[in-house]
Amino acid sequence: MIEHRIEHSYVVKQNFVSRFITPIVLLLGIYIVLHNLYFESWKIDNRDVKYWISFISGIVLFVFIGFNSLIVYPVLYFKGATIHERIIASLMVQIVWIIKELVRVSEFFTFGETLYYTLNSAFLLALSGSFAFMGISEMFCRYRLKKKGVGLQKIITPLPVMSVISGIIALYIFLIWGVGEHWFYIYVTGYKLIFH
Amino acid sequence: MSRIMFDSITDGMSLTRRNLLKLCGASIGAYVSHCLPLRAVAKTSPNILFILSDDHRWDAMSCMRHPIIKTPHLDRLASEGVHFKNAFVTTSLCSPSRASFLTGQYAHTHGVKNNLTVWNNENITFLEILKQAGYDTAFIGKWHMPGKGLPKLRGVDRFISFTIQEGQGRYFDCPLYIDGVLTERKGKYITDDLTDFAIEFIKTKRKNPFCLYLSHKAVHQLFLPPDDLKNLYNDVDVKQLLPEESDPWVTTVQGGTWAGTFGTLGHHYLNYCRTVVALDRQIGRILRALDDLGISENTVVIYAGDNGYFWGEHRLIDKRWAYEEAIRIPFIIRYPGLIKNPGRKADQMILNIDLAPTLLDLAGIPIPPFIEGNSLKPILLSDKAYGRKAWLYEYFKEFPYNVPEISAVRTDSHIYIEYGGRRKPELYNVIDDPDERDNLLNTHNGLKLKPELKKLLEDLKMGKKYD
Repeated sequence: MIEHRIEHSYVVKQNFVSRFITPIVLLLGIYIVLHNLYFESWKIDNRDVKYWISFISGIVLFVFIGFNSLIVYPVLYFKGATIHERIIASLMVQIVWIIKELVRVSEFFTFGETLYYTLNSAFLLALSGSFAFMGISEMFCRYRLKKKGVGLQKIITPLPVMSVISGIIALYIFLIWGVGEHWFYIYVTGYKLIFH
Repeated sequence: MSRIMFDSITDGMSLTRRNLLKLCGASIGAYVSHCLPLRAVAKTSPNILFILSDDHRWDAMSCMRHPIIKTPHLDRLASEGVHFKNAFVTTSLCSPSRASFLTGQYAHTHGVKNNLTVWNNENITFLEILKQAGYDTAFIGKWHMPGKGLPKLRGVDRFISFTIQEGQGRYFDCPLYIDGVLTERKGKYITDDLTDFAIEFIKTKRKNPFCLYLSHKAVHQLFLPPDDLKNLYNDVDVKQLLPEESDPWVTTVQGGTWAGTFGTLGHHYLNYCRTVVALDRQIGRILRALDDLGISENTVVIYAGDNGYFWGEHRLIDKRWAYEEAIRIPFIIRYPGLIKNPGRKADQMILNIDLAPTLLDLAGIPIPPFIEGNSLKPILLSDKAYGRKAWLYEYFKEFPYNVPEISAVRTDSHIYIEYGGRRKPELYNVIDDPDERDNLLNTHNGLKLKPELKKLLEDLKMGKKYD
């Protein structure tokens, strides 16, 4: 993704705190609220209320972890964030979620096993999906600027297209190919080769 | 456990697993030769029908007062036989438990420690011993123990199984290996299909008694019922059935995805109930076939599950953990020719490793020394029979499943659980606290009990029995 330096009414480069820190704090805040809402909801006494709160908060949490980059990336784009800032912000929630999971499984996996756990399909799918969404968002933002008559670059370039393609390939390998079982057994075979 | 002790075999010698297998092989040779004269005995021995289901919880039957499931045929078995209320598995996982049923041994002995460790075909199954004693034998259904395809299982006249989905099979159109020949089964529902083969085997004219091992895929995930039961329980408010501490997504979070239960808990649970009903219906067909042939009186029918299942209890899905929901199994024995007071519920703690010695005992065959379980025949004969005092539960880590290595001792009142990794031990009074919510380890009573239970656990790990 090529860094573009357009300064106009649509993309105004804001200061570092506004364009990067504030969105990240907001993202993590939403994540923490959703996480706690879901994981604490089972303590509610009323079964119907509990059911619907956990049901909805669970879905929102899942969608937020999996798809937040579709929102985060364009927002930072139009705030004038650099490509590195956009990528870091778009991966922030997924990385925090993965670290939280790794800390949890480290209770019973060795350090090496915990590291290997990062190669599981759920984590890889979340990360590769985010890159795909970043690619889509990048092209979408360019399209929006072009439509407004201020875009100076091509909408479709190799890097965002490759990120979308890699996301589709990851989706196929981790979720569609044998309903995810084939990757699972490759993953487990790798584990056996390394740890047994 | 790299080294194991078997005092009964070795007079206290310490053995490696390899040496132990060699010793077993030698003793089997001698044992089988000893059994050869039993061929004549077997002519008068009972027929044996062992039905094993997958992930069927001990309480998911109407004879256990389940709120919605109706299982008239399992209820019939219970009312005509002995229903073991305290039946457990030594490892709550498909492959190790199945190997334990077949061999009468713990996972640390037969070697199938989890769903990824390979079956060692040097293991001796009760089918092999019964065959040597003159039985006609068949293994029909789920094998599901790792290895390259199906093993060349000794001691079976018929071997019908499947390898698709890593041995898990499919509910619909599941291709079967029928005596080694891969055969498509288009349009077949697996529970019905396996039952058809079982009935065909039972109805075969023969001179010898038979032993049929019928091992269902049901009621394992994906919990798919046949078409005519898809709408059963649609009017049920499933929220009211599931445990308080559960929520719709315990199927998916915190490693739950590895259990293959993506989707809501309630959706899967109702399908599970429907699949149990479908299984029960097929058990009814088999019981009718035995009645029609007039052989029910002299046929031992045993129904068991390979492990329990969490439906949100402890905010868990799947099995593996040493909590009651996962380690308890349904276990019923009907044998009209022997059981004089049918409909009895037995309180004694029994294990999956007790199946093999029980069947051999009922067939009049000596129980070989390498079998670690006990015959249940005394309990079938008398409700006052002695039961074991404590037993060992073991779970071996299976990456990437989010469950630590576990060893536990279960007595008739408590369970003490130790974990691999950083997780702290737990102790529950299963009488006063059957849901295992209050870990007693930091209480005065718990601290008092811990040393004794820890010693029991260590003794059991070393092979000592508390029968």
